Amino acid sequence: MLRFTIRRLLWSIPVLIAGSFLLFVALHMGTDPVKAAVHHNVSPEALAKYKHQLGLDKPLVVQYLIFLGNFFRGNFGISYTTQNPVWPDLRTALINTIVLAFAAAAVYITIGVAIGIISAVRQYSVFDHVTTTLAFIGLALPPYVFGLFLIVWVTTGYEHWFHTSQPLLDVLGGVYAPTTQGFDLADRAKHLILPVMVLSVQEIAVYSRYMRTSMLETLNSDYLRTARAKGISEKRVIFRHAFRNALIPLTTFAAIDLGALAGGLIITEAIFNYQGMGLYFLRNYAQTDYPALLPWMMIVIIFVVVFNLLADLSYAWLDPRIRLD
Amino acid sequence: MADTSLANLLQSSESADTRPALGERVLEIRDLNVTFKTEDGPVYAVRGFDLDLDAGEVLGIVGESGSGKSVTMLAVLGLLPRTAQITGSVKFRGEELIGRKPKELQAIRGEKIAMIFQDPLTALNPVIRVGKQITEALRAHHTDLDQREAMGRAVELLDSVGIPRPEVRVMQYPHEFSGGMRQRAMIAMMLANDPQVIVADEPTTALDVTIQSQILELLKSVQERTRTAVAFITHDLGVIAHVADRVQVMYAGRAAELSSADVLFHRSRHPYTRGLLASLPSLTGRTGRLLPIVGAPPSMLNPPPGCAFHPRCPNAQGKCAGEQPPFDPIDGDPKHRIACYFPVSADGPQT
Amino acid sequence: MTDIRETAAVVATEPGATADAVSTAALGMGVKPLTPTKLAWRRFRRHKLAMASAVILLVIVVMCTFAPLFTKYSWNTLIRNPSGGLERFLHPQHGHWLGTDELGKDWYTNVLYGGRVSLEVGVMAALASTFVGTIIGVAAGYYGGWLDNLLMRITDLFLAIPLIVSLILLTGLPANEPWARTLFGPSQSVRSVTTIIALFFWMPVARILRGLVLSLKEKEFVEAARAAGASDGRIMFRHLIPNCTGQIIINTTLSVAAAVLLEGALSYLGFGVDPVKTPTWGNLLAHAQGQTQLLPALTYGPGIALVLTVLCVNFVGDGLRDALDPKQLSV
Repeated sequence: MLRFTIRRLLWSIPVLIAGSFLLFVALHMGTDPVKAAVHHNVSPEALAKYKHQLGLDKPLVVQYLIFLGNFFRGNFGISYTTQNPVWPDLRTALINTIVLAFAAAAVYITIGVAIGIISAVRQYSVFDHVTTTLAFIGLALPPYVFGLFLIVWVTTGYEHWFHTSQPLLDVLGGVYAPTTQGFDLADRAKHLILPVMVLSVQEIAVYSRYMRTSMLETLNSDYLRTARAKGISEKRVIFRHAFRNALIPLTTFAAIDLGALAGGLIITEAIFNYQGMGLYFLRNYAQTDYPALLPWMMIVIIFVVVFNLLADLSYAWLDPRIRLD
Repeated sequence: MADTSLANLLQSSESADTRPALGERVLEIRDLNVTFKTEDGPVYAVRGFDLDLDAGEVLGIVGESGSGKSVTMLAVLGLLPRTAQITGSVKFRGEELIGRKPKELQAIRGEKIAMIFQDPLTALNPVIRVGKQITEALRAHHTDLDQREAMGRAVELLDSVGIPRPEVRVMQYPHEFSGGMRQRAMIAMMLANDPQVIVADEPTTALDVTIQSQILELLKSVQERTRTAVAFITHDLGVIAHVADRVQVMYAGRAAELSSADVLFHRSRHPYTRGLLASLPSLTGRTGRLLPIVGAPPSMLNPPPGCAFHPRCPNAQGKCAGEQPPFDPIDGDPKHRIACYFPVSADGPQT
Repeated sequence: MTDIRETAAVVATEPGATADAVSTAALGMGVKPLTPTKLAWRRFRRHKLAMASAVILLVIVVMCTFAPLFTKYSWNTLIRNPSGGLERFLHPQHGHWLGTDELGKDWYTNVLYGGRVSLEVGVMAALASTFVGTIIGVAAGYYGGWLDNLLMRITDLFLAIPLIVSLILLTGLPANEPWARTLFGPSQSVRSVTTIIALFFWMPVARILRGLVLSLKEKEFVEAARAAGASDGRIMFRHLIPNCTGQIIINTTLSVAAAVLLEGALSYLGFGVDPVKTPTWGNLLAHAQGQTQLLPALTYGPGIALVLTVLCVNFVGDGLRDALDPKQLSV
């Protein structure tokens, strides 16, 4: 098991490097901060000098290595636009996204898994048919549609009072202003309601279908028949044999899914103006703020790689057949 | 092999009912019908099937895939899916099993009637240690047993079926066992509660030939020790010759022939049985072409009318397509019954 | 099977009927076997939701593709009232089923023309990625070795990077790099968005095909073909791929839904198709967000169109999955 872990860990590092390098290159090729920095007529020599100052005239690989070195020494640099250190803003964004991601995940994973189990155990029942249809509808409701629908519903109630609707939206959307003192749980929770709802619609559908499929597979397996033939109670059969085994692929799936959330909430955050990693990326991308963007990318990929590693490890831990790798 | 310890073990375990006397009828199946509801229509897997099983004997149930042999015994234990509609009567020592509440069936499964399955690799839970799967079977029926005691029993059980170093093996997972050992472990698990009836559903089909005979020997010795009634399901006549006292041949969900093993191999009368025997390659004697039975088993969605075998039968005549022949004694022997209007003559090439 | 019964009965009662005659007749006259395609179609018809969805989908596709037949305006026509002023923010009414936006454009028309683009992107991206992914996946699965390794490493890598981020970064390339402009198409055009989405979609397709080929490779019919002297290419194209068609069709269908959703996401964020060039459901939604307080129909129009389309495609895909059950088609 230990050897397995070490091997997976060693494999993660090149993926991390290669992935971040690719993003680095894509970012540099797709944007031009020098162009963006031009406000008024600037001479080409001044532009060249500016480029040199920022270290942007070096070969890409060198730039990447410099960035990498800085990153792992904790030096995230100064933002082009705010002229402030990058880390505090990035940290706030990261925390906000983590809060949203885990709050939403807690909701949609538990509900989705529960629905999946019941659908599988009561296959073809009314519950199963209804939840299946709802799941299909949920899969077709991306955040940018459902979120907008929610906003419309919330605001059209106040259609005639244009000015009153704004505070309502502020209450339910976005995040409290960074200047708010301390940590207000109630306020935080209020601002999470809409984004969590929007995320959950699709994700509950995904998880319930996945769990249903996984559960059906175990329910139809030979070892389940053997378990019943031993004369143990049906409850034990379902939980100790079917559910436990069905949980294995689900855990792997969930781990990978969670890992992608660090950089994957761009749309939801954009809709509700939620100051997380998503908005951070959009804002800084629009301003071509490299020092702000590069550590962001690194963190996002680290999350993915770490959670993928956890997924592999959990799979090996739960399924002893894999450990012989 | 630690036969004595197994015997001791079994004698020391409690069971609510007394064990049946030798020759007592333990299982009586009458007019069993099993129909599966499928998207393409009803599938008639078992049609009007009768069977008797007595304590102390080994009854072989022979048939091709789809003949209904497994489905019958699964119906006895109530292990069929919800899409199965079951009618008829199955009596275990006089008590009706069809229509019983699931909780009552749970008490019978694994303790009074045990079933050994075909492929131990898929039939054992791959992520739970073998010992735990055995203790689970033990503690389901002996609630006073704690885990430590149960584990001790599990080790003894593994030892009794001939698994070396059982104290190590008991903590291992199924995939760490070889095929033969896995099947031994499954047998140990199912024997744990000293059942009165053992149903073995093709227990050796998934194993190598050399291992097959080991497992058969094991089963035979268990049966001889404990005088349990055994229903042995297989498609392999060679295995039947090895272990069975009596044989029931099934075709297309119905009984074709029933007789003692001796009579079956030397004086069978049903054309299907003869076909099966004739298609066996002979290791001794003359070489020649193998004689398969013409055609293929029928679809149980739409079984042929009358005698199910008539489309493939060399003896078939008009009457056969009309009404199902009754399953009656033949040759004046009440223990030898066939369902055929035009049986094969008593003499002729045999194995 | 009624045929067997009748024939057997008829043959059996004829004078001179022998046992042989009965059995041979019964065996020889089988029921005409249904071809796999007919069987599949029959199973698909049974799935009522899939059938209904197919019909709805057809309506949507027809209306969007032949938009000029269903609306007399163009998407950027500004509706004016008789006195020459712009008809802005009209409520949904006869003649303007979804009202007009802040510039006076008919919204229903925009949804139709937007659908054209969204559907085009969805279908083309799915087809292109399936085509490429199938070839690469089959080759990788069949040849194994370094090709297979390479495929797995590359897909591992790209699947590790969050999709939206990659897409956004790539959409920026054509604006800055000439080679990207030739490869993908003009910046924020239908072609570039389609290409970029397809660029990521081929990977899961390739992995699935690779998996399928790996399991099919060991089957006897492949060995038999090889023993008969078939070349690698022939084996792949005439034996392996046809056995995967069911899975390929299902995948393509579901890819269409995913691609439509993705285009919507990109265009909503502003990185997809440029709204100045042509509407798509995604950029219409973005447009509507600024106006929600005044006219909800602007959101519901493209929103419901998108959801309905994706829903129907998914139901059809599910029906196909039932119909093309791998147990029926592959060996």
